[in-house]
Amino acid sequence: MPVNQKKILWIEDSAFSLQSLIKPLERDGYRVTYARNEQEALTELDKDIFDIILFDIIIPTGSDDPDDFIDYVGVRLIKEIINVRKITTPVIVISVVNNPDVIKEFEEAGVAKILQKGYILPSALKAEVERILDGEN
Amino acid sequence: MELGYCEGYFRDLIDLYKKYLDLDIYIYFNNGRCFSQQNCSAEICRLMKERHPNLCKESKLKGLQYPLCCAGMLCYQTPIKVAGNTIGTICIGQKLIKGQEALSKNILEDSLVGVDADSTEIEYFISLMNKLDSIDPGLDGGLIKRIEFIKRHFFVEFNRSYYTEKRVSDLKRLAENLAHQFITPIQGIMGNAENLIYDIDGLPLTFQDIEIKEITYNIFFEIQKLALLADNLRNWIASEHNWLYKYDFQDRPILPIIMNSIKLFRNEAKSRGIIIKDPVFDCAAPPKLNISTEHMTRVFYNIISNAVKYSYDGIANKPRWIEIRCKEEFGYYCISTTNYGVGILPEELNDRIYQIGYRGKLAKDRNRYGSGLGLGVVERIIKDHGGMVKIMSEIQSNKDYGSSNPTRNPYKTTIKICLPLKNVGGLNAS
Repeated sequence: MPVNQKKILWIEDSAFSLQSLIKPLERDGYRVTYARNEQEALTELDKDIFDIILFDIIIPTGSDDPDDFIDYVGVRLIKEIINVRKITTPVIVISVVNNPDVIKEFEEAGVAKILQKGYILPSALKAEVERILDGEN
Repeated sequence: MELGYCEGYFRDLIDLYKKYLDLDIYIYFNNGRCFSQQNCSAEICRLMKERHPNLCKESKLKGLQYPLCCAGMLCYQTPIKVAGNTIGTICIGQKLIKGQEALSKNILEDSLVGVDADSTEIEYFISLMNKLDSIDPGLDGGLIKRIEFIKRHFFVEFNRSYYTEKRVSDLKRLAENLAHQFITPIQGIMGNAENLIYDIDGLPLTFQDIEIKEITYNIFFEIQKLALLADNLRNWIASEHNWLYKYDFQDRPILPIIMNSIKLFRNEAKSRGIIIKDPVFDCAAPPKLNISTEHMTRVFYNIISNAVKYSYDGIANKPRWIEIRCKEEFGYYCISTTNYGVGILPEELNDRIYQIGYRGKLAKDRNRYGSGLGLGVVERIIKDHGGMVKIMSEIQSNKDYGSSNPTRNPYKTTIKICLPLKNVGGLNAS
């Protein structure tokens, strides 16, 4: 039986389609909490401390206010997490976004890794998570 | 309103007006762009802006939306409207008015005095003005007629150009959205396929399991090809936006990347009687190279995919083959991939072959699918790694290589990529 009790927050609105990505991590005992939008992510971060955050850039806000809608909600969220709330949990970005201006925002925020969604193997993601967590320890 | 698309078009149009209508045209757009003839009056305008910026500023303060010449150098202006919105102004003139030369000069002189220009400077400006031809704005109405002609012509042409460009832009956006939408399900299936392989590998093997395992591997390979195709599309969009690729350069062995691409295509090639041989090394051992693994995967995917796609099928007892040779050459590590089949004509072996969307003439055979995206992606990535790409293609004789269709001799086509052995770094190297 897996003994790993590390906790992952996965911020992803298409988590159902992408469930396969984290299967090897779950198999190894990682406990995964899902957040489908910005508001859910902030609520989960209020409730718990995570070992790693998997982060999509294009997610809904979770708000009903149309004035709140922006293209890259993730940019606002990462600033809130790192700059405002000073959360130091390592972040792996997994996204289809390849716009260099947006990517730069994440690099400047100090995320641990940026992965382009599309050809990430679950085994490679698991290796990346372990590498980052080993580095942290 | 995105005017960037139309820049070249406007320049050509203005040249045309100048040539056939003998008019100096300035087109000012709301976004601040200005297209104009470069002539003597343009020199007056440039100097005026440089030496007396307040003069130009004043004209804006006076409520003029466009930078009309305060020195009286423009004799006509007309707004450009598209779909009811003013997007700019056509200004015509920059010449002396016939019969009123003294008045034109006086306006210029008064303007310069108003900004405390000294007599030498005023004299210099007047001398520039004297070099201009005089025009007759009214006698036969010719000027007005020509201006109205230009206006109509310009509107028609601009609208045509604008809506064509807008349609192209919309199609690009559609392609981008589709590529993004494809990626999530592709990613999901690829993950499931790998997880399934992991599960099956742990089971005791029966005949049925072997078959299931083979099918699972096929799904896994095919979905990776699909993922890389979607990625080619995404890269094309990135190129259209002039976005730089984001590289993660690290010292990595190149062999596993090549082998992974071979693995993806080996079964497909085999089904057509084509054998992809394991790479041959002319040096002791393949070195580690300073590469971005993610991007180099795309390079070999595209190269081997093309090699398989454009190979002629093998025939009984005479398979075709694809060879990969690796060799150190003058400080570079070169990997040559050779196939026999549909080739590239000598006149195409230039920059054109790398153009996004370009497909070689011989490759346009209806049985050969292809997008024309691959080689452009390969070239860009290799160049960004400080390397180079060379393509050779020459026709072979049938007796040496056999052919399923004796009327067609195969071309021997080699794509050679060379990567620097020393860490000279790519675009992102510090």
